[in-house]
Amino acid sequence: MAWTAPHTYLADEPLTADQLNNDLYYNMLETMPAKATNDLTDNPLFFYISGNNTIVGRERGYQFIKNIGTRTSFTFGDCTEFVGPTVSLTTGTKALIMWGCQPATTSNSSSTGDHETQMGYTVSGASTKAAEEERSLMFMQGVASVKTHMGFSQWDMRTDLTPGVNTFTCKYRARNFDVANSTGEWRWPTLIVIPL
Amino acid sequence: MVWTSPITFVDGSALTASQLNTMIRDNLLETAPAKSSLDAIGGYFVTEGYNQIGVRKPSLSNVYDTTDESYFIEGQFGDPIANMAKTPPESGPSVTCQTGTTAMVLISTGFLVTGGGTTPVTDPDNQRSLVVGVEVSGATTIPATEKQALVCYSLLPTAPSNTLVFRFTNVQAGHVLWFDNLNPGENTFKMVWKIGSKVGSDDGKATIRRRKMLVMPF
Repeated sequence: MAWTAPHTYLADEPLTADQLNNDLYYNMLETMPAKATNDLTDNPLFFYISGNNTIVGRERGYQFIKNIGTRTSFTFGDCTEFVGPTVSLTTGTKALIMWGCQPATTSNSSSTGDHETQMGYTVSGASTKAAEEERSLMFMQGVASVKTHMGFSQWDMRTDLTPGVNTFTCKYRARNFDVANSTGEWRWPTLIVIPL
Repeated sequence: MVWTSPITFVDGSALTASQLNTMIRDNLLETAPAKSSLDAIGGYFVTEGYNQIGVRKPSLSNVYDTTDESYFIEGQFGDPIANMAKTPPESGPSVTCQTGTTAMVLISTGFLVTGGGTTPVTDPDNQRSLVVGVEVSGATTIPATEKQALVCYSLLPTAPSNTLVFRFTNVQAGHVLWFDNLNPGENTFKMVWKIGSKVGSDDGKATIRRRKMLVMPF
């Protein structure tokens, strides 16, 4: 049952079971404590508006990979050493995705050797979204003979998800403008997804 | 109306319409589902006072320009400016929304800051910087500050020679800012820029693109 506007009671009006069931039974079942059905104390629900007179409790997801990944391709894909981080959870149409790592640029010995690394994400499951440069964490430097590690983070707000169980997975790509088959490096990647 | 503490019912006491309206109708209208609407999907609830909750909605704004170059006033936060007959890119993004005293602001941008070209830079003071901050106006006036900003310095001198052919830094990344001193009401958050450049003929120039801002008021 959905939440309905409560009845206005009048003096001398008979009190009916329907009135009490609508106001005290069904409406109470739509409140936060009634929807607090998750007893996982380490991942409490946050409540969001999901429609007219409707709220929903949603879990957030997180994964950290304590490893260093590499990839030798300028097509978005997985690192050789691992897949992810990956988060699967139930979403509505909206989610805030936040991720970060320490990408490294590696360069050749010429005076150019501009190197670029990107870390984006895909969505699979109820929705299918490809990784995009426009939404990725990007680090590019034009510097010779130097390898630079820097900690960065990025976020994206999606408003185009198909409600259901969606899986978010970080993807990587790298290139050097002067050297074919250049390898990118990403250290200790983290992914957090907050459905709204 | 405000939520009121429910009475304790007593056997033999007459149940009145006033009690039912206060305890059931009015209190139900102060609960989360009563305050939920289609135009606030993705919104969430915060306390606004004793026994009082309110809805807050995240607000997103994008400026997805493809401008190659932008000019800025050196050493001072502001909008992109016209320079050398070039039309400046759109300012912002900015977000206006209802807040309480606190808001989390996420910003993201692509930015390219050039270094000293192909000539080795020997002076560590010759660094080029771009600072991306957020200013608040409306119910609250807070200037942008480098203490809460996304910052890029493009020259990284290396010891011992301090000679490094450093051509540019190009980053697309995000940053999070936290404001806990807002005046409740309608506040406007705007992304602003400050550049510091002392190298070559490119003074005041940087490239910005794919700018976005998300404000989550509390």
